[in-house]
Amino acid sequence: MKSPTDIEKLLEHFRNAWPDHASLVDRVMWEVNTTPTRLAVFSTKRILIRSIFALTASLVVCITLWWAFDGNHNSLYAQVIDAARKARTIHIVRYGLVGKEAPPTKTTETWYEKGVGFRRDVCAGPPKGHRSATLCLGRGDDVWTLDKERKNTVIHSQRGITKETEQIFADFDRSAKELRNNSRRYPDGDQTFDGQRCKAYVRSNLNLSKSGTWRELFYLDQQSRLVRFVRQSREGDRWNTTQFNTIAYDEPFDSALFQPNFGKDFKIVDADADAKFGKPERVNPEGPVLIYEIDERSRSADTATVDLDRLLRAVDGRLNGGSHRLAAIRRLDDRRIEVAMLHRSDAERKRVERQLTRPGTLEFRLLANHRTDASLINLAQKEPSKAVIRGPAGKRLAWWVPVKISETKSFVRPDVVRRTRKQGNRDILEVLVVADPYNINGNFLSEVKLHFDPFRELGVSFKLNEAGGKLFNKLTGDHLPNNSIGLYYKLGIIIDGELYSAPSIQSKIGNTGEITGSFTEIEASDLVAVLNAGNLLSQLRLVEEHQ
Amino acid sequence: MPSTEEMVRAIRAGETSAFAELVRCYQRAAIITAYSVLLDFHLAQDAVQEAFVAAYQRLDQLRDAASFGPWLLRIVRRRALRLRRGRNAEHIVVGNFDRAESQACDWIESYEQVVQHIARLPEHERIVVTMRYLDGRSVREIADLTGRPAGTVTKQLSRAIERLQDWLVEVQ
Repeated sequence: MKSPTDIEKLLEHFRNAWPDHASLVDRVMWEVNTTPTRLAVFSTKRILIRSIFALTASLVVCITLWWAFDGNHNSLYAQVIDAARKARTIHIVRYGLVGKEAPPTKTTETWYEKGVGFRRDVCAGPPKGHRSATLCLGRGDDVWTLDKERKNTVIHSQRGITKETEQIFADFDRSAKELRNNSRRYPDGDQTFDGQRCKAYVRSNLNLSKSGTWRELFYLDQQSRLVRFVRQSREGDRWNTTQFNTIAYDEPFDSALFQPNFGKDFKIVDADADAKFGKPERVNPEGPVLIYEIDERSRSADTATVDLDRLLRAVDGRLNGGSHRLAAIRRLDDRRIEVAMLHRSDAERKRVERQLTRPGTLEFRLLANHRTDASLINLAQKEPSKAVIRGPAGKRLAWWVPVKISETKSFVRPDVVRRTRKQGNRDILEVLVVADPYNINGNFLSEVKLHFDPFRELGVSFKLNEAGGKLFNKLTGDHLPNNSIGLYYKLGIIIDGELYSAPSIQSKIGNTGEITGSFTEIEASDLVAVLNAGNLLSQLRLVEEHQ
Repeated sequence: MPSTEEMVRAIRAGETSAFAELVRCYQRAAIITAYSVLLDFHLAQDAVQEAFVAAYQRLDQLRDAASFGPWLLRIVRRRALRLRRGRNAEHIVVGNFDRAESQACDWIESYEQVVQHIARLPEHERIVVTMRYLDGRSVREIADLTGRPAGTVTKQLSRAIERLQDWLVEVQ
């Protein structure tokens, strides 16, 4: 073990070994003096540009707001769009008419239930603009697509149904714009559908072209909802319907509609895994290639592929979710993953290993307090060999937590219950934390990001989800300081089993907070990546390494 | 000695020569930062030169003049990363510091490790370490330069030494 003096001596020697770079100042100053600078004209010119930009932006915002809230208020456009957006369910059936005498044929049928799912059946061959999918089914984040090209294959992905629902509303938007801009009321075309008298609006090229004339009819019910769309072409004196859509709102759907029941004959292929982890990425890794295997002892009983996919996503988040990418990751088989490091560097190699072996846990715990936890502190001090202090029923009441090595000085204070434990030839400082019923941990995190405090020091800020926010609020609210008797509580932030900081609780805190400490840029960035990526689900073991 | 904040103000007021003093103060911290990315002393110098010129040109964007150091080191790191992306792997020249071996510190394989570990320090600690041990400035001078109390500088230095002690032991 080297002493601080050895390190200082080493740095002094290093100073003498520093390569000569006297010319750097001259080089920089030569460039500074010869390059035209914007400094002199900064204040006036920049303020002027900023003012013009701010004025233009305000003008654009005002016009947009007027257009959004006033320009279309109560217009046909707004009514049609509002009706579609407010509907709990939408059921669209599209019919095509092939021959003059032939009955209408159902071509596609679409069901959409807000917050539940989406389903589109292509009934009579793929319509124009669609790929060859015969069924697209979405529920929550999962989307299943039946692929006609690959027989009996269903492609599953977790991209969510946003794209499909956006498409539905984009269709409504287009129809509503046609209604507003290019259509006119057509009272002679009014019809009754499902017992409701509907108003007709027409858009056509009747006056523009004599041959190939067509028209589109929009039918709105009494609540101004678009319930039918008809496209017709003219032959002589007659209008022939070529396509029509029926739209029904707020119909109750059968719950089985959004269930992915494909039968035994179908094979389900994971698209996300293929797209993200199945094929090698287009990068040119310069560093070593590490092969990791799932540790069998930590592996769950069911070895489903999805588990490995989640693991891969977590690994990807941990290695590439920080300030810059560390490695390209891909699946080798159902047990092994390949981590190809992008750069050849020992520091990055160690960083990858650390990121893949650290647990990535976050806990908030109250530090033991001499006023309220005196009996626990006595128990802990009586049995210094024990790391955990348990109650009569074996319940964990308090335990010692090691302090992060660079933060030890912050905890050498009389109000902190602490002890020093020997580990090898190092002294580990530990503080006593007590059990609480709130159990706020990393599972409640919704967002973690880098943060600079007012002194420009790097830290990590976090946001908890609603449930976590309520617990955090309750925890801090129940432990407010009592200034009259000098009682205050410290909230310990424990990451990977090490105490990073322990601020005093001054007031109720909602769902956001900051983790301070003297972080290096890499430490902070790695911490953000690990907390965002979450648990790895099972442990990984390095089994192979090659260049 | 004028503080960083005063030097930045002077440059903004048109006194270009004050920038030379800033370069002198922060060049080693900057070179270490660039070197840890590029592993080549000459390339690191190029990156640092570019970064200083960019910093000079964008000095008006620096809100807090006292935080010039960390701000500069972030520019240096970005420039170095950009330079590393744009260069071929075969041009890597590793170990410019290896030649300068010292018998007094035979427990260290090469100064390469020292550079890498100094570069791992948080920006404010990297600045005080390079100023104290590589430029040979006193704590008082560093405190004047960075505009921080001498106690804070001492604390940052001791924290940095603790970290280096820990990391260099890991290497052993």
